[in-house]
Amino acid sequence: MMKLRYIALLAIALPYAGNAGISLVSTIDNKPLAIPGAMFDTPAAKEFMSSGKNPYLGNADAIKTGKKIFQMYSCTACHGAKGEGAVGPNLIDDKWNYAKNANDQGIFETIWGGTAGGMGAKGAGFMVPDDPTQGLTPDEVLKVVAFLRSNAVKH
Amino acid sequence: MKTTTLKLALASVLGLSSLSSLAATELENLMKDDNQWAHPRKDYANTGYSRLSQINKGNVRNLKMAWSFATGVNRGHEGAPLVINDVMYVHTAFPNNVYALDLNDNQKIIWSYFPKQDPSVQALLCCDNVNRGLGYGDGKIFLQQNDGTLVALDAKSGAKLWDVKVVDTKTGASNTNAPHVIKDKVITGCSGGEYGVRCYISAYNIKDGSLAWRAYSTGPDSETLIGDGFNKDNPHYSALSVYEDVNGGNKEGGSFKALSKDQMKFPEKELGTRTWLKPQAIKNGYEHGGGPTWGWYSFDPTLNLMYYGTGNPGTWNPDVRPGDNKWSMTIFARDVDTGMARWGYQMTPHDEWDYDGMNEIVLWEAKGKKLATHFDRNGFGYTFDRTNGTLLVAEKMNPFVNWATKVDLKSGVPVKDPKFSTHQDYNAKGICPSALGVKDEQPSAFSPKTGMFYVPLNHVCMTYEPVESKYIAGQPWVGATLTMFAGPDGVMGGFMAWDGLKGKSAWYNKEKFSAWGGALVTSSDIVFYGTLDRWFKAVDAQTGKELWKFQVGSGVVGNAITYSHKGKQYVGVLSGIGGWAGVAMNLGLTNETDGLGAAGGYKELTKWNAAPGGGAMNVFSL
Repeated sequence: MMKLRYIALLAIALPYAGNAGISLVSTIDNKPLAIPGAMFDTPAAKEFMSSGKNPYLGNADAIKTGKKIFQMYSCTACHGAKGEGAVGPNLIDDKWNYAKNANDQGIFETIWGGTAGGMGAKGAGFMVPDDPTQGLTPDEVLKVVAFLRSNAVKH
Repeated sequence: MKTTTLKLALASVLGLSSLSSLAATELENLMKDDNQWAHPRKDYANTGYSRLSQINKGNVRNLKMAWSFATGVNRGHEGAPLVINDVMYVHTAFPNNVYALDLNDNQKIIWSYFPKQDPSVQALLCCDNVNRGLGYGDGKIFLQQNDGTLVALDAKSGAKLWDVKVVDTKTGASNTNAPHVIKDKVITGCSGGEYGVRCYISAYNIKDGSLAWRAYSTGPDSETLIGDGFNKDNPHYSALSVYEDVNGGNKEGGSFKALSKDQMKFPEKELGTRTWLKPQAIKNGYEHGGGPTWGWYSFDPTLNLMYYGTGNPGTWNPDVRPGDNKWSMTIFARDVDTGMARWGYQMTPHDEWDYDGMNEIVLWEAKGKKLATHFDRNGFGYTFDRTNGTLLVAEKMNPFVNWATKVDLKSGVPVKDPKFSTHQDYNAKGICPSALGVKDEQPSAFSPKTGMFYVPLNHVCMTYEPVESKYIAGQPWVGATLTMFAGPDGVMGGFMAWDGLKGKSAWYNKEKFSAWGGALVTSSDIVFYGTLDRWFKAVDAQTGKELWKFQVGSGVVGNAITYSHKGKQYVGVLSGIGGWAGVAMNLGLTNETDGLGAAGGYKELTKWNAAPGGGAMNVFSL
């Protein structure tokens, strides 16, 4: 069912996506996320945009940088130092408020565009709508996800 | 600046108007009448004390539930209802609904008020969706909504008379405090110490909601309302620096050595800017310096001074805000008509642990002295001469407090232990107390009859690792990660009687979890408080011995109150678990690996509470 919906949205999202490949939708309302294609400016971000896979998973340098970014943007305030949860949800167990967060594309969408459950958008141009210089780049989001996945606790 | 002066002048004129003083007299009479509970902590002095004595040590065991009222709202219900002329006014957690219940007609709802608030404000509330209650004065019920709106409602009809925006949620600010009516003004605060908000306290004229004055916690003297005569009797409270750097100060391995009074340079001006040394994390640290003001405000009519505490400096990473960071972590005494500060004492200069100084200040008298006592998050119990701020007592509330060895009474400076200094990218371990403090917002009570304070406590320690973080308006700006665990007693809470002159506890009871409910003490020497494992308890004020308990529907983070109706005494408390201790549970964080809140003993809360906690008012009588 989920897959079908993504395919249906592909046509609408293409103009924003730039490169052919995956199309990203908001976790809040399932509408396309308008991210300029030019923002996918690193090999990893380009690879993600074409395959929906996060090439940084398991990459020690990316994980280290991802931890810094996770702290820099005070993600730790709600989700704890490792993503274990504090006053916001646990991000390293196998329970998700949004099932799609279990896959690379889904968790990217949730971080980029935010949720209806209280987490604000973190993507550049979304975090502070009138100041696109603030917020994470796609490459940074992928590194944050690599950090979180490296902390995942198996149940 | 000109407008501020004009408003100040206007405020003093309004203060003299006869209509306003009539309203003030009405409230003061209600406070003196023990049948009522007309102010958040019952009286201006914040005592939580009632002379009602029908319920006594001989019959308290016969207390039965008289009635209850489910609020229809889940999550933390802090604070307490007001009882005025046979009507009980009940507030709820977000969305901050208000109900007026007719005590003469089986608690039938006379009116209700449902604020329309943007649900996104909930994300700004660090420590659950709490609201600490209502204020009353001039025939109006005041509600400080989480979204920053202060509302005046007609106490009889619930009709909205005026509203005003106190803080701007776009900056990450929000509100959780109860508005406090003092004379002809309603005083309200600011939350947002974890968002780089530059917080303030505001006084509005109860008549029309116009701003009388506003005092920032940080920044220039003109905006912190500090002028001539400030700290006149204790000029060393206005020192430029109270520490000297050891091993480079603000870096791993560095620490801070307390200066003696002779070594300090004072009095100095503009400390709200000059104690934010360069380089700060941002251009001018004080502009995002925190100093939230969401506590319980007290007032002495004879001195015309109001008392409150300011909270933590932003961000939690101390290395990027060198200096004492005034006037965060400060007890202020201000003239309530003008807002001008009479004295200000900083309890935790250059905070390294988030020991948010916003806890209540209780006013009392002993040996002919006008005193003020404050139980700080940093673990010290302070007693001041409230006329001028002279520090008389500063003692550890529990021996497990380890970040400082003592407070030097002469200089007023805490002597920090370098072992527990915190620095960027270094995980400092075994710090006691945790950021929750030895006591958090849950207010203590004072009995003039026993001369003792009754204090709900946390017994939790922490690890604290400051990290680099970026300030973006409206986004969290925390700059440290922490984990919490039970203190050396192996439990997470306690409750004690405290002698404010000796600075010693008279008795101390351990509690399984933090005692996160506010205390009530009566002239029959009974202390009431609630616990997170759902007990509402009565204990002997002299010995701490348990006299009665009843298990309510959800953990208690509300404050116990008492009133009488048709000659019968009632005691009551809001239940509905939440607040910092319960928020993780409310969010369903129950795994072994879960962090702050659910870690260690708090995880066990799920064995005692359904999540999220359901709100209810519970009322008991003989």
